[in-house]
Amino acid sequence: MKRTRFRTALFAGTAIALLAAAAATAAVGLQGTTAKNGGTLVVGMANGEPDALDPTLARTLSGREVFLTFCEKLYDLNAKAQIVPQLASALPTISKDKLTVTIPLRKGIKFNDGTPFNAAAVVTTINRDLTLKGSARASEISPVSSVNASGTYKVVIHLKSPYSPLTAQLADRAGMIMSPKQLAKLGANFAQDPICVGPFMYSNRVAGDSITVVKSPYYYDKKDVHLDKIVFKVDNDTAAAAAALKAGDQQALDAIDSTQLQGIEQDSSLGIIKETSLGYQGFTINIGNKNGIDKLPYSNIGTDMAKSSNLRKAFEEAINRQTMNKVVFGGTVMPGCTPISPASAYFDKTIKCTPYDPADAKKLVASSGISNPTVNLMVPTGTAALRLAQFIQAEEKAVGITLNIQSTDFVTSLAKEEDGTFDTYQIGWSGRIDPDGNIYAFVATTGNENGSGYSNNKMDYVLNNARKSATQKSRMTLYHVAEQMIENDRPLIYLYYPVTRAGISKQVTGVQMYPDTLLRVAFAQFK
Amino acid sequence: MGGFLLRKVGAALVVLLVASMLVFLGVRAIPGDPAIALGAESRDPAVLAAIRHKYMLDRPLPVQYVHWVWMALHGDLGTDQRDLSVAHTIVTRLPISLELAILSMLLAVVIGIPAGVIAATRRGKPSDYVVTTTALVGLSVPHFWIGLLFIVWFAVDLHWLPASSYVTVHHPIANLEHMLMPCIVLSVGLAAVLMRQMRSSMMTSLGADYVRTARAKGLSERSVIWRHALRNSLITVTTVIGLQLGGLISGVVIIETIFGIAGFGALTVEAVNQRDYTLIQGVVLVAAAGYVVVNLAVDIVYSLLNPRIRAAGARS
Amino acid sequence: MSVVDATALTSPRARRRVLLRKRFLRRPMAVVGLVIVVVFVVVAALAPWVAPYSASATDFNAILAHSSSKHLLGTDELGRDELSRLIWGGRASMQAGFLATLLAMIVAVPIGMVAGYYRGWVDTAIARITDVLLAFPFLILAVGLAAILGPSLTNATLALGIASMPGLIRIARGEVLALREEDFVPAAVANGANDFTIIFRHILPNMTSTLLVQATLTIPGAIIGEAALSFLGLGVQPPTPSWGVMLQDAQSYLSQDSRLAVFPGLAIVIVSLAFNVLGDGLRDIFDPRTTR
Repeated sequence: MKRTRFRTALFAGTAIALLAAAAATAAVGLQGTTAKNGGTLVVGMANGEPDALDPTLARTLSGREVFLTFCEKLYDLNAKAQIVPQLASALPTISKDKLTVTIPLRKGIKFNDGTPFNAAAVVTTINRDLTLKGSARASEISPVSSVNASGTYKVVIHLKSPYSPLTAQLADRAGMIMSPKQLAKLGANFAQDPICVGPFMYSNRVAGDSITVVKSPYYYDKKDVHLDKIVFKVDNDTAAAAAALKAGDQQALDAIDSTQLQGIEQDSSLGIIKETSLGYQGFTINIGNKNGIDKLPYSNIGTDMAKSSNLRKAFEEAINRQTMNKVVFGGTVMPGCTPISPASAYFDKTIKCTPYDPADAKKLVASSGISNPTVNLMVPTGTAALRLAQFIQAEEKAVGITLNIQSTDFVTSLAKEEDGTFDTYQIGWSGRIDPDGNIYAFVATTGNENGSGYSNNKMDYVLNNARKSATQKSRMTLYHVAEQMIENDRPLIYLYYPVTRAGISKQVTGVQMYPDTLLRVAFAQFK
Repeated sequence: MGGFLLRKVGAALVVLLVASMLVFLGVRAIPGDPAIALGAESRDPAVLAAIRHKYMLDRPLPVQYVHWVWMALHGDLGTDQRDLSVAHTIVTRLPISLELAILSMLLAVVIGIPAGVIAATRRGKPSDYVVTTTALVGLSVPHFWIGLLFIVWFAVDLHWLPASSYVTVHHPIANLEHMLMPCIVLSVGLAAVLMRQMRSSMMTSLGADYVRTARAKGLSERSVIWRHALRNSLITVTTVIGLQLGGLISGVVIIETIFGIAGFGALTVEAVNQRDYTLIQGVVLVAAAGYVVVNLAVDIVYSLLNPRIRAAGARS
Repeated sequence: MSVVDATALTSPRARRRVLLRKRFLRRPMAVVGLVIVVVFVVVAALAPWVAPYSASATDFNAILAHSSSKHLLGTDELGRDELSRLIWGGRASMQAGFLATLLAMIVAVPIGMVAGYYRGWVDTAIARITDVLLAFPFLILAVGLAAILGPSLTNATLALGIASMPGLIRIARGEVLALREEDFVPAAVANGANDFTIIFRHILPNMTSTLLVQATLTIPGAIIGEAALSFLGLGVQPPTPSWGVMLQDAQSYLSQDSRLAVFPGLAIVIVSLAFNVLGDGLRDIFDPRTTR
């Protein structure tokens, strides 16, 4: 009984991976008799170096990948992007008024310092997430009013208002439970030597280079942990990362750049597993963000794109997403047009994308009454982003729209979005398990990522209701309405969902990837 | 000698102080809110305020500057975006770049100086043409381009050498294997400069009075070249090596980026790309300090080799 | 052989000019260098008329195409004509090379001359400023400027210009130190000339050959510097083509099509080699010790 749901989830993951071409050998090897114990796995991290390894403070994507090996969560994701219990023993029970959430915990689990995992520890962690200065979790679980232990293995969370994304948040960093003993010892400096529950425990970190974790003697499923050590290596250069993988210096690479893909595919010693991201890439069009995000009310900024909804439509019609995929990304992304990716359980197949129609786009441009319409596209510097921008420039030129590419470094571009001093912004979002995390902040009037300065009462009403409603079906209906509104008004135009491809040495089995696109290496082993 | 040293050290300190102010103000002049950079995907005003407080971004500039310098004098350069100690990061990254720089410099000296001497002593002969032409080409080729071509040929096509990353000196053979391509690439331009400099100063030396005297005394040509002319030429070359240091640091930045070596140079580019303000500040300050210290050392060595400079006190 | 006009020989300046031309023509390498430089400059200047296509004209049906009669050097990752991009890219490189050098000359030469002429505390102060500038290695300086001002061709040129200044200041200073001991300086003083006149009317003309050589040798450095900055994403920004930008794009496609990395690199090598050969030749012919 000990490892029911979690292991089930793992096998479901392999089934998906099986479909994903090259992972076939990996899945077979997991049960194979040739597999052995021990060894050090070196994993290349293409998404840059993690920030503080403190679940309360951490803000980066690559940090989450490292946490997976030594900081388990109350809930986890499975291969279908559904939420399943990890340290909790079942999904939470929610009271009728939707204001009390009860979470049962698994028994007999120890932190990696030998101290017991229990409800008191969960309470300590959640209170820290809510109150620690600079907590990046506080806003994620802000509707929580209090949390307390009911016995040793039951946690009761009280909410200020109904909040259905809570479980999803507890399946990410807000659900990572830290050892109370270590918290008492290190306080805000927990990242110096983080201790949680996990198959591995933190060993050391070389800034700018690597993070090392070693096998835990305390883990509840110790017999399924095969490696002695995992080294996460920071790869800052895509070509260098691919070369290290091919040379065998690294046995896994968590994200292969599209330009390196061909070389890795041709290498017979390497396999590839892939997963469509929960995030999207596209354009944020500044419609009403005149004085900065949060500076309400929003009023039209008067650029060509802001003024004319026909021009925005023409802009989208000019873009052939299939050609874009082929030319810019070598066919490696998933074109699409909604904020919710096909990887999500909330993906809406019934939404029809605006078709590629340059002829109609030309007509719309002519009827817009704007002579020589011009779009200033702010693009964060980077080879791939600029390649995409140049592709879009050519597409728009063909229908009579002049596109000026304004290459801007990433941080400055964020600041310009915040201040509303941009026209159109080529940007994306890393994605969240709960659909609310991909929509609300961007198009709700008070959303703190609302760079468009979009304000629509009906949208606000729909999104707030979606936050409160409990069933997936009713939420999907509401998000369908919201997605239709976005497609009509175009505060954002979505282009594609990135597909993360990880390269893995065929010497290694049992490496997984779920729709959160994080590489899961904790239960891997060498053949 | 004491007075000369004191003057030189004093001047170096002034240069460092002004440089530190420029670095500090320069970083403050970078547009964009550092707190947003530090916040990554979080735009929560409470998080941003806590970040501003933690990094002292809410204090007046002079207070920030004095605090920074004061802490820097105690070996503390603050913490970066990832909450890691900047000083510690630099200390772990610097040896990698120093190894790369020193090996490249050695390679350049080993190739450049003998080649320059040969060219000077066989002026107008085929070997001279080979050396001068090679040097010209070496000067004209961007090293990052050679780096790209080397990766294509030796790593991608032939699989002879690893394309990237760094192996610690604890594994000496693997370390040298990984260092070989970057060092060759980086030494090309340096060797070319040294060849040319060595050739021209050797030619001057060979025409000088004391060499003629040495010849008149009946010393062998070999002894004239290697004992007298070469020693004098090396003085000039020492200065050239000092002047090449800036170029070397610049070269390290690009070469480390291409070869994926996590050294000091790559750290500089990362810091700028990620707008990691404390890190940029620390890295540039350390680079400037290193440059000033090495130039001071070159000055002192130069004056030891050539006492006349000490008397004049000036540096041309 | 041309027949030299007898009357021209009477003026010493004209005689020197003839002598220099003769010396120059005796150095085939320098002549070749000059020809190549002129060809590159002319082609870059006439890019709109010379280039077969616009630098941004894409053909999504012919991406990474090899050379053909339609595209002499093939196409890049967005189906743009590689030859046209090389020609247009030359503009950015030439602009960076010439303007950075010009900027450095205009600022550095007067400063260096003043330091050398007055010596004393002025010289010391200028030496310290030069030291501060030198304390920031070229690329660190350029990276910093790109971060502050934003990456662009103009800012890259500015950074390259500033980075070239310390060396030029020292050279100008050294020249003046030597020239102010020449006879014509006391003569000018005796004639009542002020410092400004002496520095710019009497000393400067005697430095032109040194400065010309120095400029010729600074330009290729700036061209390579621009390529390096653009390669790191800190210089010219796409869609504007430059050789550095093209190399940066090519880096991503090294394992698929290394051809894209070869052409822009070759262009840089050829043009900087030409400048270096020309500069060496000029130094040679201006050198009073040269007899040929």
